[in-house]
Amino acid sequence: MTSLSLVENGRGARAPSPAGHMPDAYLAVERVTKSYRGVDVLSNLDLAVGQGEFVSLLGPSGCGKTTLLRLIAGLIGIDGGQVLLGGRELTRLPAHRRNVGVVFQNYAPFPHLSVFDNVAFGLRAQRAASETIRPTVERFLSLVQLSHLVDRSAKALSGGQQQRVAVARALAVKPGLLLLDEPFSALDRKLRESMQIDLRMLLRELGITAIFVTHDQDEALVMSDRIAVMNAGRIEQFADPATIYRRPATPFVLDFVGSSTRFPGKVVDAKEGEVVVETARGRFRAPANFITGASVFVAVRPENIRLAPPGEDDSGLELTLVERIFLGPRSVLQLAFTDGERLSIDVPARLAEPLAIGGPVPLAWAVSDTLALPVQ
Amino acid sequence: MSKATLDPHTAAVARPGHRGFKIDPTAALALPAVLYLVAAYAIPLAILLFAAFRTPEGLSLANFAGFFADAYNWQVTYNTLWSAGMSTLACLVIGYPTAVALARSRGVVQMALLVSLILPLSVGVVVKAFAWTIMLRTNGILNQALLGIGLIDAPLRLLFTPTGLVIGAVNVFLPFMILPIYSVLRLVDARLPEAAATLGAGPVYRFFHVLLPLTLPGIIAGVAFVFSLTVSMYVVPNLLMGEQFMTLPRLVARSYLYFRNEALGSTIAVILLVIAVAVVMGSQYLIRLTRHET
Repeated sequence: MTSLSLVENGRGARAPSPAGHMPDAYLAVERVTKSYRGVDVLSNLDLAVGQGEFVSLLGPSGCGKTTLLRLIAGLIGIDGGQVLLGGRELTRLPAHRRNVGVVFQNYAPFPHLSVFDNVAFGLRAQRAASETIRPTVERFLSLVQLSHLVDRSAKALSGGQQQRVAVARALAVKPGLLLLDEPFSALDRKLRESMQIDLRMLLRELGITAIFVTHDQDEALVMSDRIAVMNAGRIEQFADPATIYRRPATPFVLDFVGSSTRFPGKVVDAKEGEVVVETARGRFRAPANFITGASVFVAVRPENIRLAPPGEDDSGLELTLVERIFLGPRSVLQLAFTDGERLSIDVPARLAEPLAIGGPVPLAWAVSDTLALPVQ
Repeated sequence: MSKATLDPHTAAVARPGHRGFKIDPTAALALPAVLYLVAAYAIPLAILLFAAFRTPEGLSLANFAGFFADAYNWQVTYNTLWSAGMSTLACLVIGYPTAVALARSRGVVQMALLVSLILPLSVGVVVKAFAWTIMLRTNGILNQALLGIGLIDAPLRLLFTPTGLVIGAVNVFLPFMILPIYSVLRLVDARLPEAAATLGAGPVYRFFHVLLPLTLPGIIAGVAFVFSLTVSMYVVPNLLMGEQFMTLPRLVARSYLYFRNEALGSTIAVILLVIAVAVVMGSQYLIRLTRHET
C-alpha cells in the first residue's frame, strides 16, 4: 500500500478498508444504530469481517465497543441497521438462536456447576446427543489445558482457569462467531501475555472468527488480524495492526495507539503526494494529499527520530538538552525549544551518554516517516 | 484479643483445640439481648415444656399420646398443615416472579416496589384480616369485580372457605417470601443468564438450569419463613374461617381461654414448636446442602 491514498480529504478521512466493501463478508454489520435515552451510542456503524479473522474493537471506555459486541450477540436490541452472519440475518433473532458465543469480562462461570457441566451446558441446552457430550467436553477441556480440573466446582477456580472454562464453554457449541469482551483485563500481566498467545493460537487452529473488545492497544496489536479503532460510536480506522500504528488515519488513532510528537500547522505547498507544512517549529515535508491552506498536524513516532542532523530526505530540529533520565536500556531526554517548551524522547541509553546538559541536540526523521493528519 | 487471633489460620496453628474456649469480648455486646431473651422466652418456654410433660404420675408423654388418640385432633393438625402448605405454595408462586421483577427493576421503580412491599407490614394483621372479611363477602368487592369483568356468572362463596383463608394468608405473609428470594436474586450475576443464552439455552432452560438452582437458598429460606408463620397463624383463620375449620393455634387459644385446660394448650404449643423447629433446622440443612453441591 502506498501512503498516497491515506488521507483523501481534509476532514475525517477514511482509511482504505477493502473488507468494508466486500460483498461476501462473513460478518456484516450494516448501518447499525443504537441509542440510550436519546444519546447515540452507535451511529450508522459498518463493519465487515472475513471468515476466520481475528478483529479487535479498540477504543476508550464509553466508545461503544461493548455495546456493539452485545448487539451482535443479541443481548441488547438494535435501533436501526442489520447484522448478518454467513449471509443469515441475525438482527431479529434472540441471543439463543444466533450461534454467537461470548466470553464475558468476568467470565461468568456457572457457580453451581462443575467445570465439566459448565462446558457441557450449551451442548445439553441444545439437546446434543448424549453420547457426544462427554467426548466433546473432554476435547475442549484438553484444548484449554483444564482436563485435570474436570470435576472441580467452577467457582473454586482461579481467574485464569475461569477464563479457560469460559473459552471452552463458548467453543464447545461450535459457534459461528466468538465475541470476547476484555477477557484478559482481570488477569495479572504475566499470565495475560501467555494466555493471549494461547488463545490466539487456539482460535487460529479451530478457524474461529472472533471479535475482541479491548481498551489496551498493546493487546490489540499483539492479537489482531485487523483492528477497528473506535471513538464516540464510530469506527475511526479499520486496518491491520501495522497500518494502524504506522499510518493512523485520524489524530484520534495517532493518539490512542502509541505515542508521538506533533506540531499543528498549515499546508503552504502541495504537490502530488507531498505537502509542506508550516508550523511554529519550522517547515516540514510529509507524504500526504491536502490542499494548500488546510489545517493539519505534523506528527512523528518517537522511534523514527534519530539523534543526528537531517540528511537529504529528512526533516529535522535542533533543541537544547535540559535533562537526561537513565532507565537502563534506554534514556529519556528532556529537550527544550528556544521558547522553553519541552519535548521528551527516549533513545538507547548509550546514544544519550555523550550528550551534555545544556548542549544542542540535533534530531532528524525521514520525510517518509512523517505523518500529516487533518485537525478535527 | 491478641493480634494473632485476627488471622484464623495462625490462630488455629498456634492453639489447636483451644477454639471456643476463648470468649470474644464483642460477644458482650449481645448481653442485653441475651438477658431479655432469657426473661421473655427461655423462662416461659421452660414453664410451657414443664406443663406439657407434667401428668399426675410425673413427667411423661401421656399428654401427647392423649392428643393424638383423638381423631378430631388429627383433623385439626391436618387443617393446620394444609392451610400452611397451600399458603406457602401460593406465596412462592406469586412471590418468585415478583422477586425477579424487583431485582431487575432500577431506581424509582425499584424503590416504589420495595415501599409497596414493606409498607403494608406496618398495617396490623387484625386490620388486614378484617378488611378481607369485607372483600371476600358474597356481595363483597372481589365478587363484584369478578362479576363485573364477566369472569364468573354467580358470586363465589369465599369467606369461611379454605380458598378465602389462603387468599388472606398470602396477603399477610407474601413479603416474607419475596424478600429472602429477592436478596438472593440480587447477588446472581446478570451475566449468567446471558451466558446461558449465548450457549443456545432458551428462556425455559435458562430458568430451570441457571436461575432456579442459583436462587434455591432464597426459596428454601422463604418457604421456611412463610411456612413457620402460617402454621402458627391465629388471627387470619380466626376471622376468615368458621368453627368447622379448627387449626392448632386456635385450639391452643381455646384450650387456655375456654377449656381452661393448661395441659392440652401447652401440649399443642409444644407440637407447634416442634414443627417450627423442624422447618427451620430442615431448611438450614437444605441450604447448606445446596452450598456444598456447588
